[in-house]
Amino acid sequence: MKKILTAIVALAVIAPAFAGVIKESQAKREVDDAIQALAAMDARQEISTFLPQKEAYTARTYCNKARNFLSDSEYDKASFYAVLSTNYSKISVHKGLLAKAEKDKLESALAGAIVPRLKSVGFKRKGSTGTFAGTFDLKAIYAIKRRPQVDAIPALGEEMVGRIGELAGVLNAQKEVKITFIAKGGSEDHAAKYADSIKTALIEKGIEAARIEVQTKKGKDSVEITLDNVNVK
Amino acid sequence: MRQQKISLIVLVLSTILFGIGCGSAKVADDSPDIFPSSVEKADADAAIADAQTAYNALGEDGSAETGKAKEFLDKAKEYANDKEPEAAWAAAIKAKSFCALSKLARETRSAGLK
Repeated sequence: MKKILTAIVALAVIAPAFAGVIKESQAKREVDDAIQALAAMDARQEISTFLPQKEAYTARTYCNKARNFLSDSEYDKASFYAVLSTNYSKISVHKGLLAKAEKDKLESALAGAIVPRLKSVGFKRKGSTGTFAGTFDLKAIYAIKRRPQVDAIPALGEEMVGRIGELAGVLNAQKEVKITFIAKGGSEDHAAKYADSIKTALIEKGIEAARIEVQTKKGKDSVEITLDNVNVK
Repeated sequence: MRQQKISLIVLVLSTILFGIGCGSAKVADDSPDIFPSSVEKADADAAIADAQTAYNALGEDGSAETGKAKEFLDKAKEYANDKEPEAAWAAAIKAKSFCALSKLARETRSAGLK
């Protein structure tokens, strides 16, 4: 009886080693490969936001399954999940690279559309340079015809708000663009208020105040905005 | 009194049985798990046919990934001949996975991406 029991225990211990078609050493190697592929995927910080969620998740969970099956001496399953995990990690990286390339392509196409974008909001390009300028009168800025009291400057008109939104889109994408306001008004106080209205709206859209240089003058109520160093390529 | 006792016993028993039922119920695992509990010859043959189609669509391009796909496809066929459907199925799925990887690797290579 004791011998039979010993034989059963011995069989139970050595049986897994002969089960299936994959050897322990192969399964171990494949699990190590899966762990490395996952680490390589995680190390690609530049494409981390472009990794496909489903494949990256599957790579991770299959790697865990492979490790668990390896510790349970189920080498066929460990190998199966390890190989698939490795491939899913690599597939995720490839898909991430392609997605990032697509985004870069769209961004450069969008940058190519800078001229029409700025033109649509009232800016004209000076020759073939990177300088654009647009002059906005009271009607354009506030949708009013007469000069307001200096302490009763109205809110920006609806159209101007739209222009500022489009302009901010360009300026946020091109941090190197220098912005200059030449504000004119019946008094310098008026001019400063007009410039401040537009400057505040741009700051609210994420443009740093330090990027905007303001000059005030006496003259016909308007704000001339000049953008220097615009990248139109 | 006797009826109350019976009701109480029934209640306790049903609570216990419900508890056992819940405990033994398979907890849903949200991680994908595709390795089946048993693989029939037909499953293995279908997986091999799928992998073969994916491999044929790739064509031999000399890449390491396509080479691996071919290697696993050949293994799958060998296992199928040796009447080992589970191993044949697993090898065919691996081959198909290498085909998918090879297709993407080709795209990134041709786009000059690393």
